[in-house]
Amino acid sequence: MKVLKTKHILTITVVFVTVLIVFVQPSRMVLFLGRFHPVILHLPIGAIILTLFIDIVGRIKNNYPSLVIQYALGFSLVFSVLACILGYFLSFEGGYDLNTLDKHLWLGVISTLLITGLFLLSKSKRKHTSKLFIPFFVLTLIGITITGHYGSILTHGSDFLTQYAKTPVKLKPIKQIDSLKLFDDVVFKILDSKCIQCHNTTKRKGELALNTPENILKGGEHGKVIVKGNASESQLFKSITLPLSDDKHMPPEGKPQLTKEEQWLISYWINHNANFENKVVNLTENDTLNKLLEKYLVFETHNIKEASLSDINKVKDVGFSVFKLVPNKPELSIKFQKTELSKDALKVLEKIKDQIIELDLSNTNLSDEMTIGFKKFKNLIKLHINNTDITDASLKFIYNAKRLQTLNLYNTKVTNKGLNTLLENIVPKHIYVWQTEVDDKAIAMLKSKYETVIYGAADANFVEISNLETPTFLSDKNLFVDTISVRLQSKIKNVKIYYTLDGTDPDSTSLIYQDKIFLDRPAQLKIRTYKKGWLPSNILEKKFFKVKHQVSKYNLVNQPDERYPGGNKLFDFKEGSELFRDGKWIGFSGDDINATIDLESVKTIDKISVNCLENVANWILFPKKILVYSTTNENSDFRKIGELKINRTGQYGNGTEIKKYTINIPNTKTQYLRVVVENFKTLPSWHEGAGTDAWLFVDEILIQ
Amino acid sequence: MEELSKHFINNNRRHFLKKLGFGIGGLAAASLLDPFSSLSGQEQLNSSLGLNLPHFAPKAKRIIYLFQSGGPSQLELFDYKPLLDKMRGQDLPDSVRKGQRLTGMTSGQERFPLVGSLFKFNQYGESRAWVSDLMPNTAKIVDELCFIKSMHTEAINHDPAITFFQTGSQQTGRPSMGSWFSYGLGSLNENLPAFTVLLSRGTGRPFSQPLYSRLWGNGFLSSLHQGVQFRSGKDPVLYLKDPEGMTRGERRKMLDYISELNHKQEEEFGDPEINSRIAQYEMAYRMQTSVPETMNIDDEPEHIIKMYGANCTTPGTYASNCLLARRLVEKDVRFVQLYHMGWDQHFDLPSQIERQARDIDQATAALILDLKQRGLLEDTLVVWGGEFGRTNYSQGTLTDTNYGRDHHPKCFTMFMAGGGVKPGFTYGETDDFGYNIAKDPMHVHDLQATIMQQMGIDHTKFTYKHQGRRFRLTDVSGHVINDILT
Repeated sequence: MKVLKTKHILTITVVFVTVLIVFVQPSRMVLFLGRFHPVILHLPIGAIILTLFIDIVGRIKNNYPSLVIQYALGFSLVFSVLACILGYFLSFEGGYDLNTLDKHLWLGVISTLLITGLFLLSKSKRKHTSKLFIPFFVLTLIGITITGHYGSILTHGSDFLTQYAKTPVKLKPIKQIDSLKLFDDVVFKILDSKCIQCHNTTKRKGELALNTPENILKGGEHGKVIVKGNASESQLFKSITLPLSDDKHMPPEGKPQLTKEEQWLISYWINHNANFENKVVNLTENDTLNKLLEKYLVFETHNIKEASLSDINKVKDVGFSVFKLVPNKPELSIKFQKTELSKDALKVLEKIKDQIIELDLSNTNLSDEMTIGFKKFKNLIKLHINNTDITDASLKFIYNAKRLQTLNLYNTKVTNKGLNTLLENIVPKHIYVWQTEVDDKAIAMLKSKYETVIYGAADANFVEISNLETPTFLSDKNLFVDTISVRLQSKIKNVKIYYTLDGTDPDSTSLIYQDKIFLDRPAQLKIRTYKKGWLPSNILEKKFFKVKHQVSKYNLVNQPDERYPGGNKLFDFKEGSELFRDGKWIGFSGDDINATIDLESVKTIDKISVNCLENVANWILFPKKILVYSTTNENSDFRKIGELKINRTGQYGNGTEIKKYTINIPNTKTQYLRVVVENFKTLPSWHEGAGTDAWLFVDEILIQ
Repeated sequence: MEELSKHFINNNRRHFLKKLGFGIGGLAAASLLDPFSSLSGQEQLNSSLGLNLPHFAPKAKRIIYLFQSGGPSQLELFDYKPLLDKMRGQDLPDSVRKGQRLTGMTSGQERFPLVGSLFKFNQYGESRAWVSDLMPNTAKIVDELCFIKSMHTEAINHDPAITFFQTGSQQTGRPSMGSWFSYGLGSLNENLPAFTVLLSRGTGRPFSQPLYSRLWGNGFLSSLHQGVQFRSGKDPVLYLKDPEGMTRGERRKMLDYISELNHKQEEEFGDPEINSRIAQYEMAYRMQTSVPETMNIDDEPEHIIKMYGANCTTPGTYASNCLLARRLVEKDVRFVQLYHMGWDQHFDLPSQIERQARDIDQATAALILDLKQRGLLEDTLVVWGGEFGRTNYSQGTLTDTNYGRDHHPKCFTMFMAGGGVKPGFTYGETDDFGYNIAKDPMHVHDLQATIMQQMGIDHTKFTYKHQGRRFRLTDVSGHVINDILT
C-alpha cells in the first residue's frame, strides 16, 4: 500500500511539473530543460544494459536477485519517461528534419513502453513470465538502439556513422586552376568542412541549410543570407567575420573556424554574383585568387609501396643517407653525403626507385654517364644535381618525373637549349640555373612561356654597391718619441692603399702605401683602399703625436679599479677610443691618480697633458683639478709648479666626450714629477647615482 | 659492492616500470607499426626513437635564426608612423598607454614625449613594404620577405625576453628552440652538430649586455642537443683540437678503446646517457675535420664576398657569421642561431642605430639572396628579429637631433623569408601611435608554433616529460598563424 502511495505521488509530481512548465512559462524554461535531454537519455540505456547483465549472471550463478532487477528497471523507467519529456521539449527548438524527428520521437515512446512492460513483468510473480522476460529484454534493446540511431542522425548528420566505413569517393583530379568551379570545388568544400554539420537538411540550425544551392538561396529564419554581388550585406559573410566573442559569430566558438583565406574566397564568390556554375576561367585574372585556389586543386593520389628494409640497408651500405619524409609513410628522401659517386651505387638506388621523392646528388662527381637510371625515378618531387658535371644530356633522363617540382641545376653545364627542351616535356615549378650557361634572356623568355620560376644569379644590381673593407693598423700606437713606422693590413687581396698626411681626404692620386708609412713628425693620417669592381673603403683616420719622453719609471699611489686595470696604460703611447671599455682606458672609482714619474735624468719640459674621458650616463666624469709637482732630488720635497682647475659650468653632455687637459710649465728643468689628477669624487645631486663615487677615466699622461 | 649499488641506483623502480611498460612493449609495437621509424632523423644520434617526427611533411628542413639582441627599434626600421612626427614632443596619451608596465629606466620620467623616426621611410618592391633609409639593401629584397608588424611579448627586460623567445619561458632551465629541433628531428649531417650558434657584437652599442650560453642550452634534454658555439678565434669550437704531438690515428685508437669500455658499461647498466656519450665522442672526432673546413672561407669567390660586404672577411662580424650560416646550412645543419648584440638604444639612438643597421643590412639581404640562388631558400626558414621593440616616446631628453627609446613589449616587427612563408607579405598592423597592436597580433608562442609547423611538427604534440610534467616549447599556448604560410 505504501509503495503505491509513493508511486502516485511521483506520477502526480511529474505531471504537475510538466503542466506548470508548459503552461506557466513555456518558451524559455522548456528550451532550457530540453537541452538536458542528451544527459538524461543515457541513464536508462546504461541501466538497462547493466540490468540485462545482472539478470544473465544471476541465472547462471543460480542466485537470481529479483529485487535488484526490479529496482533497476524502475530506475530505467523513471529516467526514460523523463528523457521522453525532455526530448519533446528539445524538439521545440526547431531546425531538425521533421521526418527523422518523428521517427525518433515515436521510437523513443515505444522504447519507454517496452521498459514499462519489462518493469511490470519483473514484478509479476507468475511462472511463465520468467520465460518471456529475456525475449522482451532483447526487443527493448533493439528499440533503444534504433531510437539512438535516429537521435545520432539528428545531432551529427546522416552520414556520421558511416563516414569512415564507406570507401572514400575518388575525386576527379583537377590540375588547372582554370578548370576549377568556384562553387563546387571551392566554396562548397569550405561550407562542407565548417558549416554543413549544423546547417543541413536533417539539422537545420536557425532554419538554415547550406547543403544545396537551393537551400543557400532560400536562407534561414531571418530571411536570405546572400545578397548577390555584395558580400558585406550578406548575412552569411557577416556572421563569419564578426568577432569571435560575438554571440552571432559563426561557426560558434569552439568549432573549427574559417581561415582568413576561406573568408576571402567566400566574399569573392558572393561579390561575383554568387554564381553556382561559374568556372574560374570565366573570371577576370586575379593573383590573390589564383594563389588561394592552388590549395583546392586535386591531384591524383599515388599509392606507393613501402620499401623493404633490406633494400634500404643496401642503399645505405653504398653511402647514401636515407630519411623518411614522414614516419609511417613510404616516401623517402635520399642524399649522397660523400663526393665519390659510382654507377654501381646508383644502380643500387634503383631498388627503391618508387619510394624516392627527394634525391640529392649535389657536390658529387655525378656525370652524364651515370644519369641514365634517372628514367626510373618517376615519383621524384625534388632533384638536386647542382655542383656536378652534368650537361643537357642528363636532362632528358628526367622527363619521366612528371611530378617534379624542384630541379636544382646550379653550377652545372646545362644550356638554354637543354632547359628549353626539358620544359617542353615537364614543367617543374622551381628551376635553379645560377652559374650555368643559361642566360638571363632565355630565363625571361621561358618564364613567360611556362608556369615556372627560374632562378638565375641574385640581382646583379645588388652586388655593385659594396664598399671595400676599411683597412686596419697593425699596431694601436699613435704617440712616438722620434720616429714611427705605421703598418696596415687589409683582408681583401690586391687592394691599393692611398694615404694623406695633411688631413685631406685621400683619393687615387694620393700617396700610395708600399709596406709601411714612416713618420718623424706629428701627422693626421688618412687612409683609403681602392680596388677595381669595388667602391672605395671608408677612410681610416688617426692622429699621430710626437712626445718628448716616454715614461718607463713611475709609481702610482692608488691602483685603478680591477675592471679597468693597467697602470702602465698611462704611458703606453696608445690613446683610447670613445668606447671607455676598449681596454685602453683605466678607471678609478672615487680615487685620484697620484703618479710619481722618474724621467731618469734632468730634462727640460714645457707642458704635461692628461687625456680624460667623460660619460655621465655611465657615471664617468672629468676630473676636478690637475696638479703638477716637481723636484730634482728624489729625497727632497716636491714643489707645486702647475695647477689646472676644471670649472664646470652649464650642461653635462649625454654621450661620450674626450678632452686633453694641458698644464703649461714652460722651461721646467726637472728629473722627478708628480702628477695628481683629482677625481670628481661624489656624483652631484641631479645625477641618478647622486652621493656615490664618480669614476675617473684616463688613458695617457704625456710629457711634452 | 659499490658497482652493485650503482646498478640499483640506475635501475630504480621507475626505470624498471618504464622499461617494462614502454621499453619492451613500446619498442616492439613501434617496430611492428613502422619498422623504419629509425629512419627519420639520424639513427645513432637520435635518441628519439618512437617520437614519430615529423608529424607531417615539412616545408622547411633548416632554420637560420638571425637574433637581433637588445631590441631593435621597429619605429626606425620598418614600422612607419607619420603621426609621431606630427605629434613630436607631445606627451603619450594615457588612453594609448593604458597603464602598460614600464622598465625602471623610464618609469621615473615625468614626461613621455612622442618622437618619430629621424630616418625617412619609403615603399619598396611589388609588395610596397615600408622600409627606412637605414636598410637600403633590405629594401631591395622586400619581395622575398614576410613582415610581421604585430609581434608582442610578455617580458620587458633583456634576459627574460630573450629566454622567452628561445625557450618559451621567461624563467631559465628549459631547452632552447634549436635543442628541441635537434631532439625531435635529429641531424641531417653526421659530421656537424644539428644546432650551432654564432655570436657577433654590433658597432651601435659595442659593450651592451652579454649573452649567456644557457640561451642555447639543452635544458632538461640530453646534452647532445645543446647548441654548439662556433667562435671567431683560432679555435672555432673549444677543446676540439688534439693536443700537440697527438696524431689523428692515435686519437682514433684511443676513442676505439674508450668506446669498447663504454659499450661494456652500457651492457651492464643500461644507462642511455652512456650511449649518448659514445655518440658525442664520435661526433667530436668527425668535427675535428668538418669544422675547420666549414669555417675556412678562403674558397669563397670575390663576387660572394662583395655581396655580403667586405666585412665578411673579418671573423666575428655579423657579415662573416651570415656567410658561415650559409655554409652551415649548405652542409645541412638543422638550426643555425646567430645573435647580433647592440640593439639596445636607450640614448643616442639616431647615431647608434645607424651604425647598427649598417652592420646587418647588406649581409642579411645577401644571405637571403645567396640562399635563393643556390636553391636553399625554399626549404630554409630565415627568421630576423629581436626580443622586443622600443617605445614611441623618448627616453631621456628629446632634442632636434637626438633621442632614445626604452624597451617596449606590446608591438614590434620581425621578418621571415623562405621555408614556406609568404614572400612579399605583411601581417598585422600597429595603431597610428605605434604603441598597441591594431590588427592580427602574433605572440611569441604563436611564432614558435608557426616555426615548428614549418618544420613538420605539431607544437601541441611535441612534448618531453620532466619532473612529472610534460613540457613543450610553446608551454600551454600558441597558435599556428596560417595566414603567413604559403
